[in-house]
Amino acid sequence: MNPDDLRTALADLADEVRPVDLSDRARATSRQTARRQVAATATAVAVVLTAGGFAFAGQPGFDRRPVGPADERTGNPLTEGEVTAATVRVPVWQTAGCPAGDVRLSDPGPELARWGPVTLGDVDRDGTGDALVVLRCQVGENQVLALHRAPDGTVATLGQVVTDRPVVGGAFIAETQVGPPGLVEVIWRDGAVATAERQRRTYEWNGTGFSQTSGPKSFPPAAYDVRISAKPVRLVSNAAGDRAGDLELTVENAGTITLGAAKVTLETPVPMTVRSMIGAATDHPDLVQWADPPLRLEVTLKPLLPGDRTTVTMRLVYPRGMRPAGGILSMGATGDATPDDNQVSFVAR
Amino acid sequence: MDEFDDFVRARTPALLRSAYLLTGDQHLAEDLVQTALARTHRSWRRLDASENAEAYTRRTMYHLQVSWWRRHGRRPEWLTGDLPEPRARAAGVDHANQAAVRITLRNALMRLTNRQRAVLVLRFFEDHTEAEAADLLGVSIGTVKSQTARALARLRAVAPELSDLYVVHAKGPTR
Repeated sequence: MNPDDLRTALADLADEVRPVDLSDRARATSRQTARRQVAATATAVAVVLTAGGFAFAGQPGFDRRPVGPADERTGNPLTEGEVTAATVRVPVWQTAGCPAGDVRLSDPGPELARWGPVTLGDVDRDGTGDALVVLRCQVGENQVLALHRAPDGTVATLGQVVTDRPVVGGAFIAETQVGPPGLVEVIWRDGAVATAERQRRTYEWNGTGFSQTSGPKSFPPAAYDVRISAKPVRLVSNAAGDRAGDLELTVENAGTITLGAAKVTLETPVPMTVRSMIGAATDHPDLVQWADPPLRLEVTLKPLLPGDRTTVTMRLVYPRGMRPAGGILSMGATGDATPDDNQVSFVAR
Repeated sequence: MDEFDDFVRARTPALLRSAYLLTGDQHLAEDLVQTALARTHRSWRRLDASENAEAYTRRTMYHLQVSWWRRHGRRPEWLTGDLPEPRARAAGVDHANQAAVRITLRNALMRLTNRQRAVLVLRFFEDHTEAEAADLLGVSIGTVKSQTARALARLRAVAPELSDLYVVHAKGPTR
């Protein structure tokens, strides 16, 4: 192998990458890293203070009372009208850009929204009615917020019950309920497996914050596992001198996730056309790259349930005078425990 | 930090090209460069010249790639099975020839370890000397030499057709 040829080939291959501007993304990642480090430090400080018997009582907007002493079992329960008209302190989110601080629940602003009903019940076991609201930051994170009546009679934040993470395929908060006094029940859904059963997780107020006391802590890992195979294409010449044959590719969903619109990429180094396609979500593939070889096509599959397989048949036509070649069929391999079978080559003769 | 933006806009295309060869995937390449640039951003005040920044970013990029290799073991190999036949060597099909080289080389590179791929990219794409490559990777020159030899041997083993294609590519159509 000639080193100069290797240099040329590597440079040619590197030309495939699409230039993108990464300034904003790099800055965002940098800020997130810094924020995580600050949060880790703050957590360590909080743990030390708690262990030493201190509490953050008196912090504006928060009222961290101990669990229900008798003299606090007074006052009127919160009403839905009071809650929706209140301005409360929203604790920090996990996601950068989601606003914390004072928020008017009737008009949370462009980045936030309140969704679902206000749930009423005794959250902190003080014998009076508290409330739960769910706030959604528009980037996708949700947090369950517990509200109570402060000593001055206003609606105030008791604490953040739980937040979910705005991760594609991650679990998310679906609804909240107040169970027996002191128990907050949050219904979670699995973002990766739409058909998975919902989970009921219970949280309790311990005087300084909420912690989960029962129910599962996560959904079982969703396994993405696809297997692709193809048969050799047997070509025959037609009257015009073109050579045509059927490419039959099969995809098996061996994972636990329903594949909504999985794509198969077909790469081939020589010009050819797809005259027909049967068994896919559409009747023709999408042309991703045509002018500059390799020719690259994408086939969108029909929804594929776990354990099912699907077959797509494509009629390939190689123009007269063009020596047919096969190609490579591939599917995304990120997260696949067995990526070897996400790609297969086929021959056309 | 406008200088940082200027640096990112000027150097990202080149960084992405190297990252693409290291990862074989557009999105993974973007992630790798983005992470390396984020670390550069956090250290920007210490990097008082753009040359330092680029060297720092590239060093970070290679270390991230190799440390990923250390944490997760070898990148899974892609079984390519029968690769496309070498194309007809008639005039007018040079593009097809180049495309075949690309497909074959990309798949062959993915069958190397991350470290072998890093050494090849440093030596034959970025044209670094063995000493420079060793410095960037934080390994000895001997390791660079041995990894280069193994990488080339592995390329020949997994894609013997590359040699033929390179000859055709270099000399033009022969029949």
